[in-house]
Amino acid sequence: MKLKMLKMLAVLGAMVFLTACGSAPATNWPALSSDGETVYLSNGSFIYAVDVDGGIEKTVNTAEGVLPARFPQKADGAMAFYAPVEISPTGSILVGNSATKSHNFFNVDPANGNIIWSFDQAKNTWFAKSLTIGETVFAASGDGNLYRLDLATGSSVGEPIKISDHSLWISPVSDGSAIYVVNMDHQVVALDLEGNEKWTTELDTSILSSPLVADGKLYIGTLSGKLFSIDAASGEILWNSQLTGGIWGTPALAGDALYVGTVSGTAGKVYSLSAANGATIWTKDEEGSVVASPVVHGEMVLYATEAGKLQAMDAAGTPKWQALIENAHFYNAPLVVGESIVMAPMNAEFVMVAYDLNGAQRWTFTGK
Amino acid sequence: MFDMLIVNPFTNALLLIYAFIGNFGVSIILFTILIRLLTHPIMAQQIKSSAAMQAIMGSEEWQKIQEKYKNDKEKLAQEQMRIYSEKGVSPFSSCLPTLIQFPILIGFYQSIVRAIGVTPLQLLQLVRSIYPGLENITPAASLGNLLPIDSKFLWMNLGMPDSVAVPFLPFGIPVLAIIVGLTTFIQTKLTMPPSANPNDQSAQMNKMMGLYMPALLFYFSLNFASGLAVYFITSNLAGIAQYAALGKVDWKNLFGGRSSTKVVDAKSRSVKKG
Repeated sequence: MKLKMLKMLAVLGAMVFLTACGSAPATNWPALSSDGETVYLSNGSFIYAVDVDGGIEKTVNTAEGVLPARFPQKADGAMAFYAPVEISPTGSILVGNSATKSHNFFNVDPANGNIIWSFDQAKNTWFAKSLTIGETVFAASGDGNLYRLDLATGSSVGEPIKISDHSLWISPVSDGSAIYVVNMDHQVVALDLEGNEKWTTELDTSILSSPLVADGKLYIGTLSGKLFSIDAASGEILWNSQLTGGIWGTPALAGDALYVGTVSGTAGKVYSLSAANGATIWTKDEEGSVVASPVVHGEMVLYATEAGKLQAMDAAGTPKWQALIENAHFYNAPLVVGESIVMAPMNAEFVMVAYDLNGAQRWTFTGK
Repeated sequence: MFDMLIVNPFTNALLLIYAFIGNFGVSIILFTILIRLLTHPIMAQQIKSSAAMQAIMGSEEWQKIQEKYKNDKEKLAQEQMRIYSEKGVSPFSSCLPTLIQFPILIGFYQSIVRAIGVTPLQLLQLVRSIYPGLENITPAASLGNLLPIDSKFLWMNLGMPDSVAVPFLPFGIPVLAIIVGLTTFIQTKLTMPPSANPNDQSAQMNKMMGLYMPALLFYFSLNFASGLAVYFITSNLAGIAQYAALGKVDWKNLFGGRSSTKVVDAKSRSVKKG
């Protein structure tokens, strides 16, 4: 009898275990955005609004009194947020739901947390930051469509543009004359501002980061570790450079040098390459992989590793300083706002941390 | 360690099947059947041992000592061990195969979850799991050819919970979750071992399992990626087939009939009417 009981308990234990390790929606890294004063953190159940100077959560006046500025106000099983927020030209925040069963795209008033409008026609999760040009919001959905929404009303502007049969996870970017969308089908697609296809270029493997658009060129990396330079007008590949590991982040550009990180298993590398021809200028090995995009701020190149390290280098590849959070993981690009560098660690005691430009910790935010 | 020993090999095996077949739904089905076949000897041993245990517990001698030593747990345990020893049955023999199967089944489940990869973080974990040498077996298993995994299967997106839209209903019908619930219920009913005493604790728990398991798996399938539901259904049907192959399916259980309790002498394995 006891054995039966033990077996039963083992079965029940396994059932609980299976529940815990299922493909629940809350399994992605957090994302950051800022309007220069407020940092918005998309981190699962909530989008937090935090003052960048003091790391204090902002508040809103509601009918129930003064409450923390969060969206939604109360955790809702049908909502999860991992896409970076876009701050629209009107100051509202635009973000899609990353939960598996509900696929709304919201326009939210940050002053009171009210939903201005919600678009509910998408059929899969949202992980990409939207792009607003004029009155039109371009939003890339997990259902493979690029939706064009009216900023004022949230209604569709024309038919959705089918970019892929697979999920679109990467934010579209624009140089003002075209919109560039990438997909996991190895393609870079250029559209005019009306949504008409200008060109499509096939690369070698899936693309998991937005292109950098600069000086009439796109710079973009793929999962195989190839960095491509593409002519923005024609889609012609100008050069490619094979790096070690896969590329998950957008390159950064300063002068004639590109900076990009790679993922080789759990280790990584940071490269500085010539923007003219892709030749390697310097590399730096990292114990943790470099999933996120490097960022250039003044004379400083900043990048974060999966081993919880924020590293500052100069353009020549000489380390300036580093900040480390033991056992934490960084997947987001360093967000420089004023005199602060904001990071959103995973597996840490806090969900946000800010450093000054010399790497000294300014504040942390726990989200509690 | 668990990842390295079990989840990663399973993930790569699943991806390799996908590379050859080109359909992820069919790959999940084939891989589930393959794992069921590989674990069949362990399962057969478990069923055999369970039957022997069941036979002992249904024997007159067992019932007698239960009654005789009901107030002396220590003596009762000694007597139970004596009977096990006399019949040549180890009380752990039905438990051990289950324990061996668990890591395999959990690792298999995790490999499916990983291969489905419905978020960027999950895709990162998937890419890390892929063996560099996989593409040497077939070029179709290279990173460029494997990703993105085509998650379309029949009417489903295997990375999303299943829901079939019906024109006159304001909500979708979770067809797959319903099939999961039904097949789990049928499997539990068909493979439930007969009990010598329907009122004993083990029989009661079996009965509860017959209700809870379908409900729980229905709930999983309702909320998680439908690729898992495909796995549950295949696993249930394969489980029924395995029991049937061993002659252990009791159809009367399914239709509410009362199955006769078979008591098997653990040593001679001869069947007697209980």
